[in-house]
Amino acid sequence: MCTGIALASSELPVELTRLHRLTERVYDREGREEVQFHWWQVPTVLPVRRNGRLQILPWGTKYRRGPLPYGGWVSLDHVRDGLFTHATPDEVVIPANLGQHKGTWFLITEGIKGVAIETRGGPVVYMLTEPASNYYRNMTEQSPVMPVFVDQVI
Amino acid sequence: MKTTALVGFGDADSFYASAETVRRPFLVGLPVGVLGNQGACVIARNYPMKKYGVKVGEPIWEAKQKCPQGVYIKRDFRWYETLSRKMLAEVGRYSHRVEYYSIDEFFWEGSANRGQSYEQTAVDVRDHVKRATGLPMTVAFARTRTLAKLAADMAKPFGAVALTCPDQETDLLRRTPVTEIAGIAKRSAAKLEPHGIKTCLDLRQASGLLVRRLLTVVGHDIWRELNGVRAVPIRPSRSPHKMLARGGSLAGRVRDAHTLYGWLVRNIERLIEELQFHEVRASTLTVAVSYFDAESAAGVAHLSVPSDRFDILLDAAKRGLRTAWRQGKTATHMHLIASGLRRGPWQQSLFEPPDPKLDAVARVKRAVNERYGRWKLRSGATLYANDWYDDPANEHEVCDIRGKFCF
Repeated sequence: MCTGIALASSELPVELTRLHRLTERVYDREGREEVQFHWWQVPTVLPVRRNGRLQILPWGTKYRRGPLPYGGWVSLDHVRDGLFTHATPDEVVIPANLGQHKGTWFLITEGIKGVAIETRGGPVVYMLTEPASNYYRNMTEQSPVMPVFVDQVI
Repeated sequence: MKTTALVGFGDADSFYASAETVRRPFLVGLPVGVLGNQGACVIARNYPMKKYGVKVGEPIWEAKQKCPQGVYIKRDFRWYETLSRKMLAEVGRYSHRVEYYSIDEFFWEGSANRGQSYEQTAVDVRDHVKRATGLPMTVAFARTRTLAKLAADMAKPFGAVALTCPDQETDLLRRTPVTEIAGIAKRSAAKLEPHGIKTCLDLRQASGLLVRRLLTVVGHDIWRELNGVRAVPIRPSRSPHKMLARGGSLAGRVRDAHTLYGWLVRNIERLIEELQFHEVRASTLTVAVSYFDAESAAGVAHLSVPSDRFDILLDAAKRGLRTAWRQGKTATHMHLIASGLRRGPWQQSLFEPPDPKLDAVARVKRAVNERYGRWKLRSGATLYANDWYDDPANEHEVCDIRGKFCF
């Protein structure tokens, strides 16, 4: 699992930062500013590169009774098996410099693959996951799943 | 002190972590820890992470308590080798006699640049390597390897020093504990302490006979080097191996005999690669296994004919493993050591006649892997360790970097 990401502040357009009040998510890491997106934050959002444009989208859902799968992650296999047949899942990239799980910050070279789902309230993004490698499990206190990275193997 | 020819020494600062920063400028200034083969331990960290007290070898779950803002990265030995060889080439611009001592350390027959002092030359080498490779390196010149290495260790990070007068040497040795010398660990230091030898200066001033008695010939060589005598020359090329070994961690704890067998076969295939690269054949094969819940064990198998052939080495390795295997116990590491290495012609045996068919199979396997990538064609037995092959980062390990003297 990956419950948070960080993106250098310089990689987010000022307009997007202002519009989504991202300044509240700016953290200082050894003197460097970054914007962090965590599952526990409200509103729960993620940056998404979609159709060549950087957007901020709601990250999954925390409501169990809605039509969407509960949580912020869906397995790649489930998506391939037709989890979102009722909607048209749109493959997107969640840009990130760092990912975090159980307190371990790890390097992300390009980003994480995700799917955007159109809903009545607008698009929602889920992180795609796959079974964790032995390496990732060790790094993250035995997380059984890991994000699907873009051109990166951990 | 005569300063016409000194030993140059260059040591990249926090090499693995610096190598990651070279290709990912985002990491500049951040605390970076590089994780080992299993993703469980920090094998290198940069100075910002060192500040938090994170040590090499520390498990990640302890490291992240000390440095929660730290960025942890998977090791990539292929990239580190690329940069290591680049550093070697750049240092080679300053001397024709360079020793590739380890992945991030180089000794060379040093001379000062024309019109420059050794101090200025050290600065020049350091700055040149930084410009050419992006890597920070500490450079030192001194009369011997041991003195140069000590000077560099004390000047880190990004230092450039030259010990060109006796007072500089004495001053350095006085403030340096003997344990800072590569080759003098705690046990050796404990032998020296009752004789009042605590610093490198104490060691230099001690009797050579006493040092030899306490620390054998190896310690005596260190003593000579501290006294300005070159005991170990610069070695531009590696001397032929007396042994070749392959192995390491089993990527977790292994109880299942099939998985252990899978690793045995993987290590044989890696060993054969090395034997063939060095054009030698093994007469003896040792299989050593470490256990989590039992004493380490080893089995030795002698070959009737020196060989680099898969089927013969596999038979020998099976015999070795039979002795080294502890049924029901959990293995963590395995090493295969080939010794009695033979070059050139050897006496044939009646019991192991040449087998042109199997030789041909070995040639095809080698050709396929050379052309299409390592492990593209491998023994089916390695399927038991298949998880390991799924990750391309496991294709290239630190011991696969050839030509250096140590890690």
